[in-house]
Amino acid sequence: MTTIVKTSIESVHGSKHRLLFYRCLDDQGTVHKYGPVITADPELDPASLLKQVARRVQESLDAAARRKTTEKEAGELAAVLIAGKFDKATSPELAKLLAESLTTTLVQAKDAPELAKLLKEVEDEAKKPGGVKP
Amino acid sequence: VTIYYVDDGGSNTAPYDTWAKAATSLLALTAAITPRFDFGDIIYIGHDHVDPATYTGTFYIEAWSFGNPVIFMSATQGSDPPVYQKAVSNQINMTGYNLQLSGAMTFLGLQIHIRFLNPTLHKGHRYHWRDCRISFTDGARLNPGLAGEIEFESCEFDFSADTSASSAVPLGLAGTDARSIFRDCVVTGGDQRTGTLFAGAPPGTTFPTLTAAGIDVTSLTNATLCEVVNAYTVGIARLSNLLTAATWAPWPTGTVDSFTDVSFVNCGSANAPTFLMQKTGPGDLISTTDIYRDGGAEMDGTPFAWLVMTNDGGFYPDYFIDVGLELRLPWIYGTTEAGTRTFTVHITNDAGDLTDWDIYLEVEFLSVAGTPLTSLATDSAPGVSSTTAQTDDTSSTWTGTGPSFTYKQKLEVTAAVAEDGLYRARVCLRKASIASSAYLYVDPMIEVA
Repeated sequence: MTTIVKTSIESVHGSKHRLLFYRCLDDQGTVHKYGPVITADPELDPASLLKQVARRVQESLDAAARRKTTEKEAGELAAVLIAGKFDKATSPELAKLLAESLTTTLVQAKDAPELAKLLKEVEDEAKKPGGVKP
Repeated sequence: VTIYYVDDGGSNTAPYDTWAKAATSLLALTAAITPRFDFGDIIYIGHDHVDPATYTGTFYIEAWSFGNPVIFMSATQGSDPPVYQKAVSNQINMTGYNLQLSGAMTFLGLQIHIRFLNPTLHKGHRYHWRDCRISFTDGARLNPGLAGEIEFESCEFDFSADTSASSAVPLGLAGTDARSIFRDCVVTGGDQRTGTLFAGAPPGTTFPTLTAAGIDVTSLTNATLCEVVNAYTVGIARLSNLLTAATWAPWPTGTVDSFTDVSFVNCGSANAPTFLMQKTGPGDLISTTDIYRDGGAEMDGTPFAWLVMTNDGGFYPDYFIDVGLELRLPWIYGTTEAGTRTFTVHITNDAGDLTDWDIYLEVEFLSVAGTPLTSLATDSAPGVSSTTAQTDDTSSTWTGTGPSFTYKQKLEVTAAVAEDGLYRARVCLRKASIASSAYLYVDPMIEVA
């Protein structure tokens, strides 16, 4: 997992409506930019946002990493659900749409800690008479 | 077309066609209507109806995906004929579970309390929400799916009950090829959220589109920095008249797809008619009223300039080589008289003189007398091997805090204008990896002499 190791202010533009730009360095030597933050608050110290910026960039990197590893898993789960409920030979379009919908939902849900709850809910629905509705 | 009633004071008696026989919950009505609502069905829901249903999983509402939409309307309880009245209580109340929609539906004045709103946007599916209030529980999100359209007009999105760690998940614009429209809406109770407002589809999917106009997001104040769009917006988004917190970030992090096209107009903590931000694959433009060239561009008497940054050039890190992938700033329109005209744009930066390969001006002008035909003139170098520095600008004075205005230059194009009338000009950049610390500013006023 890539980790942010240093965050600094890249530039500050203006005085009344300042544009603040930051840069984060990760442990692989890659620079990730953040900004502009636009502020009309004259009291805001740009350095006071360094920790928040580092956290948000880290979250963004983590989310990107999770997407890469889970997209395949989500697609496979969707395929399993479909296989149990639809005859792909007679309803190929329906199966395709459901697969796409489930994959999208599951990939996005990977961002949330309650993914397991969502997965269980989907699976429970699939077991009911009628199964998952398209 | 069938008319149904839902009210907690009804007798739950089929066919649910009066207030007295009303279904006692939308869940009960939906269970009784199989397999789905029909074209143009109307469901009146008592304005003070309190949803008594117990949910154990996702709540599905289905309708046909074409033809007249099914209408769910909040109405004054007992009114005959039913009179529209915005809800005063949760007409769908499903803490911890999702509402899944499928078909074509219109929701008027409803109040609902849910976790995810999953409008299934298959081709032809469309949803119109007007004057509704949607409050979310933990892990909330609006989750459009595939092709289709969803529109929220004059709606409130309440996140005050969304206090979980998963509140980092964003509100909307997800899925593939979905069209999402938000107009005159307000986001409330969002100060604890740590995610962006709008999030795009995962990389590799097709283009979603977003239109957001007149949205009050001032409640997004906490750790979010009031982030509006995140790194995964792969598509086209137009955001205008967003009222933000004093400190906010339109799109602060992540890389963008080559053909991503996002713009913000008149967004900020106060009315900001000069505000423009464009984020595209090659780079970004953002306007500021704090830094400008004296005597340069103004709007309503307020001077402004454009800060320009470019991204990494990829395989060729110094320049955007591929045809069509330069950063092209917006066209600037004006009129001029026939004759030999020189069009001038002023720029400044702190990193070094720029060449006519790095940055150049394009002018499209009327070039044939008596016709509307145009020609394109440019001061661009013909190739990377024969470049010269753009002309020094020794007369301009720039104002503002931050940049040193070390290098001031002019982009000039001379053209034989054959007819009085319209011209347009734009600045283009091939130079990649121009950081904000280069303080590259463009005065968007075109001088014609």
